[in-house]
Formats: sequence, structure tokens, C-alpha cells
Amino acid sequence: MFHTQRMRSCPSSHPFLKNYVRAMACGGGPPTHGSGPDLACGKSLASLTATITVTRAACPIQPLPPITDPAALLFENNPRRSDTICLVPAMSTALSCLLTAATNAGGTPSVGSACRPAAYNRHLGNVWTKWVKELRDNNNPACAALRSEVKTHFNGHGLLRSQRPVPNSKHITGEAVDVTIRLPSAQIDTLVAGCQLRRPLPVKDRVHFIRR
Amino acid sequence: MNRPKTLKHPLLSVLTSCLLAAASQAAEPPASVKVYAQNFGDRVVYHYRVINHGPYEIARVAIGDDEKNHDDNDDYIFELIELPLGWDFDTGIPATSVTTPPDWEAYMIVPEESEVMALAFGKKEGASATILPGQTLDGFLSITLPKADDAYRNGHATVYFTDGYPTRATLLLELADTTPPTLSVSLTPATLWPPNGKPVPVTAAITVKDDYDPNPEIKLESITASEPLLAGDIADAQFGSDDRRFTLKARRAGENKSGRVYTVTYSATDASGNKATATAEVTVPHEQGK
Repeated sequence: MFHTQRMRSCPSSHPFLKNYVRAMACGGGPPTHGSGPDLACGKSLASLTATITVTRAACPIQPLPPITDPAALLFENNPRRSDTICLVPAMSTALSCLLTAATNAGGTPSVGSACRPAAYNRHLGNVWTKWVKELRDNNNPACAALRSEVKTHFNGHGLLRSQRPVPNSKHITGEAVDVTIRLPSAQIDTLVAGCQLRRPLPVKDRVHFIRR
Repeated sequence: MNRPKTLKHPLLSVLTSCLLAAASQAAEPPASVKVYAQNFGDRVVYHYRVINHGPYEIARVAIGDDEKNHDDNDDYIFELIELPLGWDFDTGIPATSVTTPPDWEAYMIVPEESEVMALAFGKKEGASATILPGQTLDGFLSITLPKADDAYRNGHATVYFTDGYPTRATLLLELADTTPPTLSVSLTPATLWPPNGKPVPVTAAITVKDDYDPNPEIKLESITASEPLLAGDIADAQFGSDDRRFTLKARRAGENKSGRVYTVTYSATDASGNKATATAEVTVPHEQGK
């Protein structure tokens, strides 16, 4: 399937180097270049292998940092929560206007994300990075448990691998809302303009609204 | 003065060479990502080649994903601006705008509230197709954009390993195409006569060829002359664009025995950014036949 082109092999896996390690572990002299791979010394090699196994047993990827912030914990315990309480007043008014206008137009709006405590937003970023960047492709058996845990976390938050939470989000300050509206884009922009809102990125982040 | 005694154990040279080889490998990046681009007029296609130099399998390559230049510990920089042709927030990249190996997929990573993004090519979750150590993945990864975005060819890429640690490495994209197009220009007429000061339309015939790009971008770069020009001697020339018709005045200084020589320069730039220039001349001779 893939077009392949063989490159030079890793020096650490060179058969001669393996034989050298084995011979020295046996307490004998060094092998000569070209020695076969069957130098026997079960006991010493076993202890060497055990050392390597212990080294590889721990997953080198750090687990998610724990959440200690009370506000973040409140959100964490209800991941699908859409909290509009901490929106700034003008944004809250604008959101009410938008929801009414979109409903009247048949757009069945739903609020996906409103305000997020900074610590919770940081946690979302951590989960995204941990899953998408560190564990999604990882097949190290030592990391399997952590991988499973983080995947569950990622899915539980409704995160998308294609959309990364950003650390300096306007959601933190209560100045942004994410609203899905089932209407043509031009119609949405007309509606939001009447509510003193705008979409800064109508193509790349089309559910994200901020005040004009 | 006593020289220190040199230990010459037969193993020493073997160990030294092994260590040097290991050090050399450590210094070498674990992978290379090479790119070339093709301009088809209404779209630009970027092709990627991934070479795995390291000991780990590569499961994903993200173009425009630069983790070397962090804003802080919590952020990293994405580099791409232009979205793939036909990309949609809900449906992603259409199949017509991307190629991947079997069991791989492509998607844009679009941070919230951000203009910049990254393009990820990677194996589907659960699939086993990876780029093995020593392998080159060539001819499978491409993305089509409505117009050029240089970050797709001169930015960074991050490769992701299946069981390596660190789990990924960021590299500078390398150009697979480093050869400029071949360009030739001829002008008609090549001689303006009589030198009566009248404007004469001049047409450029251009031949361009490139090893990767079927449609290098042509630009009229400059028109200069061998003697001082008066206003209006050069007219209707749109510099910086593919303008092949302009007007030159059939004029020269009376005392200049060698006549006036207009030098017209065009450039051709392929979609990988390699640029060639070529010149042609239009002469207003001092005397006819010279």
C-alpha cells in the first residue's frame, strides 16, 4: 500500500551491539564483529531484560492535572452544562434576543457553550491536548489505561478533535456564546446584527458569537 | 613530560563508533516532511512526502502545527490561514480536495476564536497503517486550496508517534521542489522604426516550463531603458501581473549612436516558490539597419 524505501537501521538495534551487550553481561570478552546472534548466557541476559522491562512499564505520559478550582469542579461534574449565569449583562440580553429571533425564524437554536471559569477552560484545553496530541495515536500498552481514561474524558466533554479550546477565550470573561442555529448563514448574520451580536469567524467558527 | 597512557582495547573503537552513530542519529530529526505545490489556475495543490528517520512508527502528520514556538506552556502556534477547497464546518474537507493513504483521513484543526489552523493527516483511530521506521510515504498526501497559502509549504509540521516519547516532534517543512521554472521571452516587434516618437504596441511571447508546476505564475517585473526616459515612453504596462501587452515609444536621443534599448524583464514563479527571470529587448536604433 505505502510506497516504501528502506533507510538505515537504528544503531541501538544493530545485531552486533546486542551481542556485545550480551557478551559483556556474561562477564566474558567482547564478541568479534560478525559473531552470530546466538551467544548464550541466559542468566545475565534475563536480568538485563528485566531491567529494560521495568523501565518501559510506566507510561511516560503524565496524567491530566487534577482540577482544584471549585467553579471548575462545578462544571466538570456536569460537562454538558451550558452556563449563562456568568455572562456579562449586555451579552445576556443579546443572547436572549438572539434565541427569540432564531426561534421565531424556525432556526431551533441551542446554546452549546456560554461562560466557562478560567480553570475549567484550561482543563478543557488540557484534555484536548492530552487526547489529540499525546494519546490518540499511542499504542504503548503501558499507556492503555491512561488512554482509555482520557478518551472517556474527551468524549464526555463533547470536545471535537478538529476544534481546540483556546486559553484566552472570550468565554472566560462571559463575552461570548456558542449557539447552533439551523438557518442559512446569511440569515443568521441578519438576525444577530439585530441583537447587537456578530460572528467574528463565520466560516471557521460559525457557532461563536460576540457582541458588536 | 610523560604522556598519559592510551588504553587501546579492541572494544573501545567499536563502542566509540556505536556511540557516534547513536549521537548522529540523535542529532538527526526523527522525520522529514517535504512538500511541493502545483498551481492549476483555479486551485493550488500541495503534496507532502514523509520520511521516517527515527525508531518509532508515525501515525499522523499535522501541517502548520508548530509546537516549537509556544506562546506559553498552554498554547502553541498554528500557521495555516486558507481553508481547503469546499471545507465546511460540519462536513470538513470534501473527498475531492484531499488524498490520503487507505485507512488514513485528513481534517483541519481549527481552534476556537482563531484565524489560524492546522491540517492533520493521520490514521483512523484503530487502524494499523503507520509509516514504519525507514519508510517513506510518497504520493499519498495532498490538499487542494482555492488559492496559495505559503504556510502550507514553508511552515512547520508535527509528526506523531505511536509509542515514542516524546510523543511528537515538530519539524520545518522542506521543499521537495527547489528548481525554478525555465523561462524564455521574445518581444514583437523587437525593433521600433522610425524613431518618430509614436507609441508602438509590443507583445511578449512567453514560454515557461517547470518540473512540478503546470502553471507557474508569470509577472512583468520591469521595463528599463539604456537612456533617460520621458513621461509616457512606457505605457499600459501592469507591473507585478501577467501583462504581455504594453506600449513603448519609438524614441531615442539623437546623439546616442547606439540607439535606445528597452529591456523587459519577466519572472516565472512556481507554486513551490522557485523563481526564474528572463529578459528581452526592444531596440530603437540610431539608424535603420543598425
